[in-house]
Amino acid sequence: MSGNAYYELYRRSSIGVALTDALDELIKDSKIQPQLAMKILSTFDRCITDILSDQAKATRLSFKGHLDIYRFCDDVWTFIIKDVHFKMEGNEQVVGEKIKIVACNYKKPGEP
Amino acid sequence: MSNSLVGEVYRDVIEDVINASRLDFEDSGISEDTLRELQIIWQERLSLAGAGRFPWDPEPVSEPLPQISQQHLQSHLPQQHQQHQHQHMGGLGDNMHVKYEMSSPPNAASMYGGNLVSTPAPQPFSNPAMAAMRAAQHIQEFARDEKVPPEIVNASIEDVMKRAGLEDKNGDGMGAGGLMLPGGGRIAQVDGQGPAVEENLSTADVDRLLELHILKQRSQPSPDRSSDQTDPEQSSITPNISMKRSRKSNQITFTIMQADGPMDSDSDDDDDEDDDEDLGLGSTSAARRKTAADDSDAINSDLDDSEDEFNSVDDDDGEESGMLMLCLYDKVTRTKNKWKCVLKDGVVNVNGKDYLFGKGNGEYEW
Repeated sequence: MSGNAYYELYRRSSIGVALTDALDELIKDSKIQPQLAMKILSTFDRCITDILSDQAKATRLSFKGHLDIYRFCDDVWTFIIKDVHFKMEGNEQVVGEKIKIVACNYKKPGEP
Repeated sequence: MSNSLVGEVYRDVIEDVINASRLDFEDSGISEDTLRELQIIWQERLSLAGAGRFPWDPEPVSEPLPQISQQHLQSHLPQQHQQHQHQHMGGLGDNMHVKYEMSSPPNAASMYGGNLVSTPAPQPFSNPAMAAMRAAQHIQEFARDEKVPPEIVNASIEDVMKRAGLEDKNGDGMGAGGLMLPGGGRIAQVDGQGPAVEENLSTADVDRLLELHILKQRSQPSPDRSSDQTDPEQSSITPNISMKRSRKSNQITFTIMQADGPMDSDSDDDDDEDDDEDLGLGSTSAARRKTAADDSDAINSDLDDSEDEFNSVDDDDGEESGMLMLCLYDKVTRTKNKWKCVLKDGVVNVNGKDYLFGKGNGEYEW
């Protein structure tokens, strides 16, 4: 993975949203330019992708549920699953009423 | 438990991003203080989101610590909701609290007290005072690490405390109209356009600006915008729409809200566009925004509409409850109505808590 080949997917996570809000605040206060904020966001894309694949490698999760809606568009899967039961690392179980899953392709376009 | 991993991973991500952005900040000619501010705000927001326990959060107040300063803090801070014991490294936290107590400037502390009193029903979850305390701690931490002169530190803390006042005004919404002055005073807001908040101005400044504003309104219903004069920096803001993720956070720092509806120079009929933000922008930018909206309307096809519908279904049901999984897929297979997927490198938010996984397996039937 190099250059711009990082998904912007994780910007919607809580850490990404927190960053976006923080950047918004700085822009509104005229402390930084929007261009710089965009740069920071793409740095974030890179950092979180690398750190996740490195540090969360051994962490597993499984879940079961009822698929409500699915969509495959532009190489992105979107699922909405109802009555979802998660089994986290260490046998922790979490139940959710409904979850949306957005998944990008693990294999980048162009890669074998 | 994978939730404990969240704190470490997020801390590393923040550190990495901040370190990697240092050069970008230098290139843009922006001081490192702003970069630190970014880090502090970022961490604060993340803590407020309540997705987990983070290394930068203060010690859980339930932990018994003998220091007097710690007890003092406990009496001020509302109980933070948490289920996880915070694993703190070393004795860092103790020093931090003591140092904070010792060197926090008295005027900032009294202002903090004043704000707290005037706050109607502070909510524990979005308590700005606590965020400010936390931020102040971080500043102290930085200061200790980087040997920053105390006067700069104190100034930064004061700034954070002021912001706490600002955040609070926007946070509790309801009974919080009017101008909050740095000294702790308040001017009632009468125009009904939402909270107008002022920052970094003395009472005299605000008085003068108000006077100027009223005079101008009386003399001429002209398209002049009061905020253009009041703060030249604000008027140079570019309308960054892409960065504006949502309008929910109404953190606008413009000086004086316009008191009248019809006198508004921006008399075109896009009332929904017509929020506080417009006050700081030239009418040209408003027009530009409008045309942009028109353009996107023109491009949209029926297909897009159906997609919007799909999204809106998700937004209503899926994301409002905060249940979102972002990940990469390795394999997605289906036989009849049975689906199986192999996922990688995911961030999941379930019932408000974040979890991470390196490998995930899902089985579900349609």
